[in-house]
Amino acid sequence: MEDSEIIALYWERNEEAITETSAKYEAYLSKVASNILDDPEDSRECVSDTYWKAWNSIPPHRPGNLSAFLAKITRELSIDVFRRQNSGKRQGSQYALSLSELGDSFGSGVTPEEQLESRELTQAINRFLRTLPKDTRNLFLGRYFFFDSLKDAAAYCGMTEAGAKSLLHRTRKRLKAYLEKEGFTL
Amino acid sequence: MNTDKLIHNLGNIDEDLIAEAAELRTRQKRRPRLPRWAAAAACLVLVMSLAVTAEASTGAVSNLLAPLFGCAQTEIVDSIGIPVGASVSADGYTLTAEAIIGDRYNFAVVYSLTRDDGQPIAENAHFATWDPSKSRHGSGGGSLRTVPDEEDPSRMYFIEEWSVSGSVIGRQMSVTMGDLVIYAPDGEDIPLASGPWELTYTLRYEDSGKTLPLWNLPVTHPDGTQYKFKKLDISPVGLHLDFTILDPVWGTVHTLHEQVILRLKDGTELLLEGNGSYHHKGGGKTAKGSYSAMYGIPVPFEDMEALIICGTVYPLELTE
Repeated sequence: MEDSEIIALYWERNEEAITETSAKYEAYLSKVASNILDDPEDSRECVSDTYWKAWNSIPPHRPGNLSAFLAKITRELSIDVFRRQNSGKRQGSQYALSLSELGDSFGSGVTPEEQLESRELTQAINRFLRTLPKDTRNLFLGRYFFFDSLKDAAAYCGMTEAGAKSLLHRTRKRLKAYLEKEGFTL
Repeated sequence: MNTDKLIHNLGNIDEDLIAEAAELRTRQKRRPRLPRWAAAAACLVLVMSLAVTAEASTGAVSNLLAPLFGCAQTEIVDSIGIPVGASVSADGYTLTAEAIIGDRYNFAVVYSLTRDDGQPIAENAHFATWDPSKSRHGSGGGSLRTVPDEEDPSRMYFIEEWSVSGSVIGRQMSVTMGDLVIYAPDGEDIPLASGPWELTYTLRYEDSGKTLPLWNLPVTHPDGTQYKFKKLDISPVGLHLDFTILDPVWGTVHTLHEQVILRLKDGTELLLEGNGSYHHKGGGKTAKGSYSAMYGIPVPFEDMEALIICGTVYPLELTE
């Protein structure tokens, strides 16, 4: 079923919307969740919660891209579960490894910059991402939005693992420089 | 900055950026092909030295597509490919869609970029952004790569390739290239010229493909996944498979990466690198999917011996 038809079912408050969403996107969303959470049962629960969160969000929302809209929800829910389960101790999953990589560039302490509006930071990140060559952007998002393993991200971007690692390192440095230029203290 | 906050805000980025990355993730791996610029240059030199208008017109498409296929199988390339010739100029650079070749589910476009003043184009130049066609042609994936012109430093080529799940013949395509830059590994890109360069063209090439029923050909993937292949669309430049996955494993991304091989009668085996997708049906008990791939070189039907999927050999008996 086309995404527009699924979204129409949500707007009609037809519960087939969830059935169709599950049929089309379960594998995709489960991969997003399982990259963050090691436990399959936790991942399954986050995907199920994604459907209900979507049900409660559409309407009023009308997603321009349903798969991305759902992936955002699954990612957020999975990170919340991970944080609850791993407060003070982060290891194991691709999410934990990605967090560690970013921590090398951005630190992990609480600074006054946390008071900045999240929207401003998100907008700055959007602007930065749009300055990147497409391959670099997709590698960066594969690693830090979807938390794919370095090996997998390198493979689907057509790069060697070493090349991808080097490019991610340079991109993190560029992001740091960009955000500093935009007035964010890192 | 708190890393958690950065991770959180990355989760709120624009959905088109997420969708773009998501599409790439569902593709099969595409290894960069060996550059064919040497062969391409040889073809171009040959044409320039002949300088016979009537003869040049008969071989024009294979010459235009030389950055893609070199001098291989020019008869096939000339019979399937079509010239485009659409150009757009901005900031002293002209982008031209030279020619297209493809089949129902795969196509490639060769673009040339030239400097209007005839000066060399900087090494490692590339477009900062590539916004491919907005036209709907199902799921799948595409790539854009550069090929230098060894004979003419004021020209370089870009090759755009797509393998998708929906038929593309007759569809109108558009592409928008952003600013031209030199990638700087440890800093900001160095701007060369301001875009955008926007082109629109139609995939009018001849449908050279054949459709073969596979009668639910059972295949077992090395990871144990059971497939049933229903249909093969095959042409001299690419193929498309329709299949069903039985009992897809929840949380696993099923892929035919490095599992599809075209064996030729001379014993050559072409390991295909294409794009696949699937979606769950029947409450998740099965998944319906497809896989499309373009070969690295054109292959005449009579040279094809078999298709090998996950080790299962399916003989091909094809004639032109």
